[in-house]
Amino acid sequence: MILVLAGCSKSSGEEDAAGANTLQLSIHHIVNGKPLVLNDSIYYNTFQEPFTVTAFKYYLSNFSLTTTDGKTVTLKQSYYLVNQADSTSRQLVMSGIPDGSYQTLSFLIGVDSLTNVAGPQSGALDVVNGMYWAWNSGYINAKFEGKSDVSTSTANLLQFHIGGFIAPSNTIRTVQLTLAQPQLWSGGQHTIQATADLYTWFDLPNPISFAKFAGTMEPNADAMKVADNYQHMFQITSITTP
Amino acid sequence: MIRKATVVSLCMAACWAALVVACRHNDAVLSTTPHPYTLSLPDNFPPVQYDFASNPLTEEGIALGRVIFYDSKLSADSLVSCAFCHQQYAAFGHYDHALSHGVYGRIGVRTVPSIFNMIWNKAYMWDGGVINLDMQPLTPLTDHNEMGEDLPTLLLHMQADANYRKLFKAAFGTEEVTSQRMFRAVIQFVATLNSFHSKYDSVKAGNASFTPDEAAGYEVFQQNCATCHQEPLFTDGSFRNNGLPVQPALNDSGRMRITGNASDYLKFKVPSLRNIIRTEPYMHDGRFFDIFNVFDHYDHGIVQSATLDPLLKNGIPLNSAQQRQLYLFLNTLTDYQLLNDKTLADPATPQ
Repeated sequence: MILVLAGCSKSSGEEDAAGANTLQLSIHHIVNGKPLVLNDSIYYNTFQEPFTVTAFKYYLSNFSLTTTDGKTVTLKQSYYLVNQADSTSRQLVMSGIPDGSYQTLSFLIGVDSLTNVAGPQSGALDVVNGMYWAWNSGYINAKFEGKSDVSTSTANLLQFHIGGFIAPSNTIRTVQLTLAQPQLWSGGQHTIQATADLYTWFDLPNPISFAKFAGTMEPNADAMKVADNYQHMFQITSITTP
Repeated sequence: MIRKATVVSLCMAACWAALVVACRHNDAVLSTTPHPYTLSLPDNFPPVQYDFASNPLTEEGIALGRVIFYDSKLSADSLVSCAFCHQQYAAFGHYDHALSHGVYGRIGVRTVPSIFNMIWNKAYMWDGGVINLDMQPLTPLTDHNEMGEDLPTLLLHMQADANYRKLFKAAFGTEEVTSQRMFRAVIQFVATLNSFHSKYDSVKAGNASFTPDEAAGYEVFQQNCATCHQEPLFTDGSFRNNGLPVQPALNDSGRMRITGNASDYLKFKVPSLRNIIRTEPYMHDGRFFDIFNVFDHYDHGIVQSATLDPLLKNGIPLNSAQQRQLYLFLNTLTDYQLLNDKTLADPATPQ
């Protein structure tokens, strides 16, 4: 009976037990300073090659906060499929965060390896979302699709499906964002505004020319290079706290 | 840890009803509880690889999986069911078809693997590209050359079907059709496709005996084949290059396609020899229609290459007497119970 009671109190009172702070991470998609608009807007990569964007989405997971004294607070596990085509998907709400003085927000771009091997999932991880490879088991961690006149692929397409969770093609990347000043949280909703810049995908450390490389759709060295680029795509622009 | 886990799971079972009452007060989901189903498995087999805890078998889940398995409406042209390629009389392989056939007459690039004893496998497909059995149905359902259906469309079709809604409710408590539920149901049925009732198994259990030719063939097998085709599953689950000449039209790199590793070039999963006489044609591309062609390949057809399995460096010399004996032994691996079990047949066909 102890087990039964414990099981019940956990499922009904999780937030109280864990903490009274809620974090809303609000993500804005940009391309080198300009707001990202699907389909029609023309952008330029680092080689001044023009391109349009038809799809831009990626998984974020395994969020944690680090306190000023170096303690890691793991947030309740959730998988977010952030999608330019779905504005609500760009508002990530994480509740049950304990009071504390926080310095760093960390998360993964992608789906951790345990979940990759865990079998059929629901919600954001449901394979109906088109972010999973059937022939070579594993999630597509991030996807960009578009067009560029310089692309030599069929219909000038750009197709960057970045996935792979096994070395040497492990494309899961950790992002650590330092908060401008320590955040002393003692309840309420806190909002972090951040940008995710698609331009970074094709910039440093591996500048990508669409004339030479129009994408990849399997775990490989090219996917690793793109992941090494896009791990720098996030930047915090403001933090508001009650 | 093991002991604790056991205690917890026992308690979970005992307290489940109480939990349901206590915690699910606003949720009448489990008004009808599916009936647990226990597989009886042979003692002399290794432990299963499949995690039944993540997808507990129930009578209703298996029944739903069976309906899905035999439903050709789930394919893009409404002609190709799972069972179209996985025929019971061919031990759930595709009899007499070299390369897999799919919707609109499309032809794939490999032969249909026979799918029994899957719960003992570690990886699926000829190249091991699928690593969790519950994810396996996604591949044939959506592959352009197989059933070729768009998954969201497929789920909508199932959700719109009153019979499926009823079956999903019986298996999972509500009528909701999800990919997770569908895959799990299919695999619950696949988990019941097991082969351990051949004459070989009866001999091993002491309930039958080999003829002298079969016994001689068993010896030939043990001396020449048993390392890769390891008993009692008759496969060790490994990936090997068995020296087949590359077919330029297919140019299939095998497991290297999955790992990207050049040392995996031309390696394919070692298939089980159980029911082998019923699962022609042979090899990953179905190039041999007769088991004696396979013997000939190992006897004098091996192509040397960097990734050739070291065990096959000198081939497997088999004279005609040995080939005949081996053939007779392989016949003892046919499992007529699996081939004829009516509970595994098309539920729409009157029994």
